[in-house]
Amino acid sequence: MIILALSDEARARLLNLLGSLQTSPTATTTSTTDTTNLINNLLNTNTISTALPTDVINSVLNTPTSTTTVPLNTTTSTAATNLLNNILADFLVLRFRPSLRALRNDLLNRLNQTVQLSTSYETLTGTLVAVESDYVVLVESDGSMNFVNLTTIETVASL
Amino acid sequence: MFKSFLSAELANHVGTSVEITLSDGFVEGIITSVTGNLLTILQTIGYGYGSTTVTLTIFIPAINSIKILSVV
Repeated sequence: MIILALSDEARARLLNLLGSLQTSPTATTTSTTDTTNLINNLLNTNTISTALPTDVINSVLNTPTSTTTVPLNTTTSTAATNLLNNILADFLVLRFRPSLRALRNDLLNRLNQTVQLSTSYETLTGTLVAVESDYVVLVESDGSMNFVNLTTIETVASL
Repeated sequence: MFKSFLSAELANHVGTSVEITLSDGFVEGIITSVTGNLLTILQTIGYGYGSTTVTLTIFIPAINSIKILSVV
């Protein structure tokens, strides 16, 4: 079994995915909040097994929750299983993708400065007013606000 | 002030006119909904009389940047 540390960024991303899970229609009547809490508890150990992802999913599905005494792993949990599979796959991709932490730290050091951000299609110039988990907020000289996706930023320059 | 994730922030701008930059060009329209990683806008094609609107769904991670044009 391979034990990997879970970065804050990856954890935040996974929790965001779980947030969208709560709005997704599923065939199961079990509260997705409980599933979120279960996975959150798993994440709190700061480790995840990549050797046996199926076991991780099954352990989540087979764990009774506070609102139901029946394990989730029933014939009606196919949709939930698929969603969890997708989340786990997304999480693993995120875990092994180059971290955006260095770029975020660089941008955080340029907060409230006039910066030039280039993406694959355009170059934006303005005041960097916020750096969030997966995007930054840039206010141009005409006052217009831009949300720039962190993953698409190619170069950063202070003016 | 701002939400942590772009999808959550965009959900706060439903009804807002935006200009979205993708890797190969711009689209302009009004945000109608945000579901997970999908953004739906009412895209305006053309100008003035004869312009048409199309419902366009965009994968949020594919967005380069979004300019907030105005609040409707």
